Amino acid sequence: MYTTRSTLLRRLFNNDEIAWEEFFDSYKELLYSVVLQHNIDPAAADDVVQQTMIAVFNGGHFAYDKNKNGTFRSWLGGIVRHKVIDYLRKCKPTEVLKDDDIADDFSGADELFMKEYRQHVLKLAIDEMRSLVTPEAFEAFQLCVLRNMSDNDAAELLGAKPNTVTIRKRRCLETLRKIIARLNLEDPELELVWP
Amino acid sequence: MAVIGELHQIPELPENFQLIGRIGRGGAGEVFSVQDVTGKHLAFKRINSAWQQHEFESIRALRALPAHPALTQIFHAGVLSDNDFYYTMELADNAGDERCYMADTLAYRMLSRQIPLDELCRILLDTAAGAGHLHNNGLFHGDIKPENIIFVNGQVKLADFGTVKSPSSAGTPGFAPDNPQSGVDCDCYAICKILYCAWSGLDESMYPSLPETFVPAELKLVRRIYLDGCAENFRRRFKSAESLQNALQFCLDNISKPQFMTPARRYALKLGIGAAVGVLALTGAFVAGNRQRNMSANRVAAAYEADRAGKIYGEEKTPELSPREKLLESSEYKQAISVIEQARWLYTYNDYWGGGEARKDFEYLLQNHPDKLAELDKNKMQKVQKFYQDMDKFHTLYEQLASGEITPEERIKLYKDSGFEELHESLRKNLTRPDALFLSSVVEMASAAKSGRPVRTPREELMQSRAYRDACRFIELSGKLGNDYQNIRPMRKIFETVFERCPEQLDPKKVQNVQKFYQDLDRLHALRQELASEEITPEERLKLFQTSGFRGLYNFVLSRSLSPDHLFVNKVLQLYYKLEDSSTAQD
Repeated sequence: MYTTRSTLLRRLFNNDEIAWEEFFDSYKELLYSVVLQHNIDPAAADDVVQQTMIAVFNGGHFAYDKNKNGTFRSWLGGIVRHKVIDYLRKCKPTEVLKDDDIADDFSGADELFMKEYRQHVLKLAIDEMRSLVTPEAFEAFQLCVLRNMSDNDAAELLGAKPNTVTIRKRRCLETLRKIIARLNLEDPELELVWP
Repeated sequence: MAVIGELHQIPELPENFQLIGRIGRGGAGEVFSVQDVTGKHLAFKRINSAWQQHEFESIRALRALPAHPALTQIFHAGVLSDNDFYYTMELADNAGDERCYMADTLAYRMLSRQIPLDELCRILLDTAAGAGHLHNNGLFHGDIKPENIIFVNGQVKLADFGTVKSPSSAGTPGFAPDNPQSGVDCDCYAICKILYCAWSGLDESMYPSLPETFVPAELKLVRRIYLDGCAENFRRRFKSAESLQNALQFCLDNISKPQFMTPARRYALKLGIGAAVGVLALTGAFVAGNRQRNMSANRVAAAYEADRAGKIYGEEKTPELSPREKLLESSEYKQAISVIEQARWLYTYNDYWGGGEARKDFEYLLQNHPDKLAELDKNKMQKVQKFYQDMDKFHTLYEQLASGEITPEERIKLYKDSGFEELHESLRKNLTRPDALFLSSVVEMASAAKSGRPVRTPREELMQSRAYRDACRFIELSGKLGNDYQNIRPMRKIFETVFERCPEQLDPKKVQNVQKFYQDLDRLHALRQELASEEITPEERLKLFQTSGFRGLYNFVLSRSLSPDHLFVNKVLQLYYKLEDSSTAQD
C-alpha cells in the first residue's frame, strides 16, 4: 500500500521495521538507476545501493535529521554520491583520484539525481492516486494518459462509453494534480509538474 | 528424492514414515516430504503448539467431508511424541528435478512462465469447484493464494487449509477483501485476485494496473471477472463459488473467438441491455441446483453477458441512463436481487428438513386419516398445511423471479406484488424451528398406517400404555385409603388434642411418627386430587405421577395404615378420656 513520503519518513524515525522494508522497496529502483548512470556495472551497482541503504539506516536507525541534513532528497543524493565515489576509488586503487576528477565526474550528478528522483516521486504519486480512484477510472487513466490511447479506443477496449472514459480519466488527473501539489509543498525544490 | 532444506529440528516421526526432507515452513508449522511403508510419497505437516487447536478443528471438519478431486486429501492425523499435532496429505508434484524438489504450485508456475488464459481459467475453475465444495458443507478455505493451489498428478488441488479463521481475519494481504462479508466472499475474492495476478503477471499490490502488453480480447474477458470479484463494494462481488465458476467458464468458452461477438452479445442486443443484476448467480445456481431446469449453458453465459453489457459501475453516473439502467442501479432492485439470491438455498427444500419425507407422511394422513391428524392437534395440523402451501407458492415464485425470461421491470413488479420477501422470511423462520414433536408423531402414525397397524395418535398410544394404566390404577386405589390413622375411627382430632395438652406423657418418637403419617396422608390426597383432575392432559398426568413419587408415597401410607401402633393408640385414647373427664368435672 502506498505511503506518502512524509508518512514513510515519520515511520522510519520510529524505527518501524515494515517502513524500512517499504523504504527499500520504494527507493531501490531510484538508487539503482542513479548509480547505473555513472557507468557502473549492474552487479557492482547492487553493492553500491546496498552500501547506500546501510548508510541510510546507520547503526540500525534512520540516520536522516531534518535539522542537520537539509531536505531528504539532497541528503539521500549526497549519500549515493559518496558511495559511488567510494566504489570508484576502490576500482582505481593505484590512481589517486583528485577532487577535481571527482567533481568532473559528478558535475551533473545533482541534476541527474533530481531527474531520477522526480520520476520516482511521480511514480509514487500515481500509486497513491490509484488507491484513491475506482479501478475502472485507473484503467482509463492508464490507457489514455500513460499509453496515449484515444478515448474512443480505450472505451472500446474497456467496454464503456467514450464519455465515461473521458470523465474517469479527468477524475484521475484531478486527483493526481492535487497529490503533486501537496508533494511540491512538502519539497519546494522538487518542482514536480504533470506534463 | 533428494534431501533438501535443513535437517536440524527433525521431528520424530511415527514408525510408518521415513523422512525425506523439509519442503516448507510457515507460521503454523513445517511441512516435510515423507515416505510411508508402501513407498508412497506424502506431505507431512507438523503443527506448532500455538495453532494446534485451530488446525485440529480444521482437519477434523475437512475429514468429515466427502472427498473432492479439487481438495487435497488428508490421509492420517495424529500426535507426535512431543505432543505436536501432525497430519499427512497428498504431496504436490515435483516441478524441479531429481536433485531438488520444488512443489508444483500455481505460484511456481506464475514465476516460471506466463500461463495462457485458457489454462489459467481451467485451473481456477477447479479451484473454485474445490472452494464451492467447502462452502456447500459450511466451511471455507480462508487463505486461497497461488502458493496454496498445488498440482497432484497434474490435477489442481486446494491445499493448506490451515486454521479456519473468521472471515474478518482470513486471508493473506492482497488476496483478502478489506470488508469481508463471509468466508465464501473471502474465497471468491482471492480467486479473482489470483486471476488478475496470473493473467497480468503483476504483483497483487499493482491491482488494477494493466500489464505492459496484453491481448485486448482477453482483457475484455478477464477484467469483468476480477473487477467485479475484487470490487470494494461487496455487493458487486461474487456471492458463490458457482457464480464465479460460471463467469470463468464463460471466459474460457470465449477465449479463442477472434471477434468478441458471442451469441451472448447478440442476446444482449436483443434484450436491449439489462437483464437482472447478478442474474448469472441466479441462473447459474439454477443450473447447478438440485432440480432439473431447462436452461442451457449458453443461455447462462448469455444472461451473464447481458447482465454485464453496458453496465456502469462505480460512483460515476453518466447523464444518459435509460429507465432500465436506472432500475438496475436502483437500491430497490438490488435489494430484490439480493433477497432472491439468498432464497436460492430455500429452493432446494421441499420440507422442514429438506428431503420431503415428513411432508409425504403428512399428506398421506391428511388424505387417509384426517380425523386422526385433527385429533393429534388441529391447530398444528392447519399450521403445517399452510407451511406446505407457502412452500409451494415460494417455489413457483422463485422459478419465475430467477428465470432469465422475464424483464427487470416484470421481475421487480412480481417481487413486490407477490410479497416474496415476507414469504421467504416466514418460511425461513419456520424452518429454523419446526414443530419436531408434531412432525415426528405424524411420521409414526403414517408408518403405522402404511404397515397395517392401528393408527393411533401419540396420546392414544400413551393411554394404552402399561405405564399409564398402572398410574391410573394407583390413583384410583389411593381414593379408598381414607383420611385417618388406622381408618377405624376419627383418631386425628384425638391425637391433636392429646399432643397439644399432654405431650410429656408420650414417647416423642411415636408422636413424631404419627404426625408424619398425617402429613404424608395429606400430601397423598392432595396429589391424588391433582392427578385425578380433568384439567390436566394424560401426558401431564403420567409425568406428574412419575416425578412426584406417588406410587412410593401411596405404598408407604398404606403400609402404616394397615399396621398401626395399637398400644400407642390405646394410651392416647386413655389420656384423651382423662382430659375429657377433667374438663367435664370442671364444668
